[in-house]
Amino acid sequence: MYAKLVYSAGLSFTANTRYSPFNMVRDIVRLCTSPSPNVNNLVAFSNTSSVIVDTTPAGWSLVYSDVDGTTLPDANTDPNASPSSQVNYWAMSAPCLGPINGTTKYAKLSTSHISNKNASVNNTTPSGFSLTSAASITNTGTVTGEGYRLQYPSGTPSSAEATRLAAWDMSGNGTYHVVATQRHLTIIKEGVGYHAVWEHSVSDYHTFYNVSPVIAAVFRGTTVTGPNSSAPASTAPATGGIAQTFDNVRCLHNVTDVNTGTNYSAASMAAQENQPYLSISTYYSNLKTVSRSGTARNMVMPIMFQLMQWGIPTCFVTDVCDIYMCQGGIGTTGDTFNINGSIYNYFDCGSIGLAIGTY
Amino acid sequence: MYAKLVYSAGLTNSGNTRYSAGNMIRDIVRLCTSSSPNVNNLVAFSNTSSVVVNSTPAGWTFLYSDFDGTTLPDANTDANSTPTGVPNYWTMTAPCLGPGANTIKYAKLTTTYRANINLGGGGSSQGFSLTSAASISNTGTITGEGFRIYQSSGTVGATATAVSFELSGNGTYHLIATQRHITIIKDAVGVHGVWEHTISDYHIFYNITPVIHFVFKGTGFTYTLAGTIGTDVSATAPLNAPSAETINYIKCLHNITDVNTGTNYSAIQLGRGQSQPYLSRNSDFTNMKTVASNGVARNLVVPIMYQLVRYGVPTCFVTDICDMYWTGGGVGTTGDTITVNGIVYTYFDCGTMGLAINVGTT
Repeated sequence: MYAKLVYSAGLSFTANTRYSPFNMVRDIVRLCTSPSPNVNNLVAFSNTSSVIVDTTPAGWSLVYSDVDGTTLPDANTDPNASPSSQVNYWAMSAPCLGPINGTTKYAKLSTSHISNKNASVNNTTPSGFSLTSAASITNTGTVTGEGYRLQYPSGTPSSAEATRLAAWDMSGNGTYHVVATQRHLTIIKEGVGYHAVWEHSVSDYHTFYNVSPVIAAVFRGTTVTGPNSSAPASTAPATGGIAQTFDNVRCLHNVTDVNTGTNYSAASMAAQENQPYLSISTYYSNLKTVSRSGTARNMVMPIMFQLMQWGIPTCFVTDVCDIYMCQGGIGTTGDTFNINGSIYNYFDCGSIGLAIGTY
Repeated sequence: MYAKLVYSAGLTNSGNTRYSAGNMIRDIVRLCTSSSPNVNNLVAFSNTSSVVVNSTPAGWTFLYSDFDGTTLPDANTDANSTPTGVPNYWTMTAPCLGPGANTIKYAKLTTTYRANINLGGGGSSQGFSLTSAASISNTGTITGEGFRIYQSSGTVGATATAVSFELSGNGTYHLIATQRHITIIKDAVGVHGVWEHTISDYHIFYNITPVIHFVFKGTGFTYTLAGTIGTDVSATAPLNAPSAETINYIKCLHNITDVNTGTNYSAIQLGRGQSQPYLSRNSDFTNMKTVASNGVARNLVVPIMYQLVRYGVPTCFVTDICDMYWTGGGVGTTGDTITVNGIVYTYFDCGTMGLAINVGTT
């Protein structure tokens, strides 16, 4: 499923359009869990300007929401509701290819701070949402080992805090691209960044520990300091030892250090953690090369990671989710790439881009 | 060719054993350029304790030395000589697989400081470095040499910084050489290598020799962007990193053009801070242990590869050309075998890291 969603919050609600990050999340969950995703699923995103480019069902299932429980209301029967005065979330699951039958991955969409479900007052403030994964989420709301995100669970953030949140979450007016299959959920705000939950290849390590092969990845062109900073964040300690300004976060779940036997329900690999490619972005700038005839070419790189210091060999997202990383700003989202003879769609995520094949 | 070389410098030179960094290099060059490498090539390394494990000719050609000119003396006719008062060097060449028909790679072995060619008197500070270059002529013109540490004056001994970088002192050295690479390992200490790698359209367009010069030493030293290290002097290889850092890896490329600016670098160093697929910050690549699906402990190996995508150089693979992998140090004894994807490799302990190299039939 691929939906191109337009968010253009007005000052007041009109008809079926009820602006809030709360309803943005509900729209996305409806699209990802629907057997026939269509614009009638939308109440926050425009149901006239948005387009479902590929209607193949994404194949995810609603697990639980601390607002809606285990049943998500239909868009057309979704009543206005009072805010719950806290961060709210909606969780979905999808099966993994391995390492054994029944291995599940989770996607959790959370609002970043107190957010009226249908609060037009928030329509121009940077209130948004984040996508994370977790070691497990039950249908009664027990969340174990959630990945890294920024949030303010009480009160209203100050202006500086709101700015910081805006540097992290998906928020505000613009075009959002939701690409989802049973292998991944990728949410891109055009020209800004992405939040994603990606399945990856398995190794003997994953088979032995029976670990779901999932990485949650966030890239924002703007930087925030952490993850060891004082900002409110969920439980995902950094494997790197240095608090550092970073613009990308990658979280693993339920990983065990083979050298010590210590299990981490969530572990964040921050910018200082050198990765095959998803690493310090300044080293992966430009991404231009030449063909042998001298014609300018863009480079694409497979998405992969390692955590060898704990025993996790290199794992490949690209092989499972059919996504490559490339430079930002090299074209318009929707342009096509030819990679090794296959056609991919280009998505501009700010200073980097993604090339996504299968929907 | 694979030679296991023993260096055990005595207090005085005796017979055919003449201890010095200069003669260590001469021995190595003789082995790499010989049509039948054998222990009779040796005058610094022991010709009784050393073993040429694989005598397949390495296929390198002697090019020039500022000491010996274009002709390397035979081991048995190598006379004692007076020092020249500066670091001395010996260079070799070997053809590359591509991209052009005449693409050549270079290896330059250089003493670290003023060293009597037959100095004798112990060997703890008698060392040398291996580098590559953009070009070296048979009259001694060198363009774009890679990074190394050397001292241009002083005869008392090498500084601690120099010793932390070079290969030196008593111990066992492993010399593995084919037409694709020269790899010199001091057992359990470190490695200096000149490695050919895969080519890309980038290399074809610019007709660049696909070579990376690599050094790993477990000890670190601080390198500044200005190119100086304390009172030592480095060769011309600017650091491609945003800040001065303590490093224990060196990776140098030659004749590289930034596709974004058109600027050409005759030599450029990928510093420790340069995030690499694997040859990167050491602390992120420690342990290198994992488990099999049944729980049996296993060692991780990773392919040797690098990128300089910000200049337009895509990921290039050493492993595919030189048939070697990167692995943890201390996981066994040098000479142990490691099976990687069904092929048997020989393990070499390089200190906190190791190499698994296919040394051929032995």
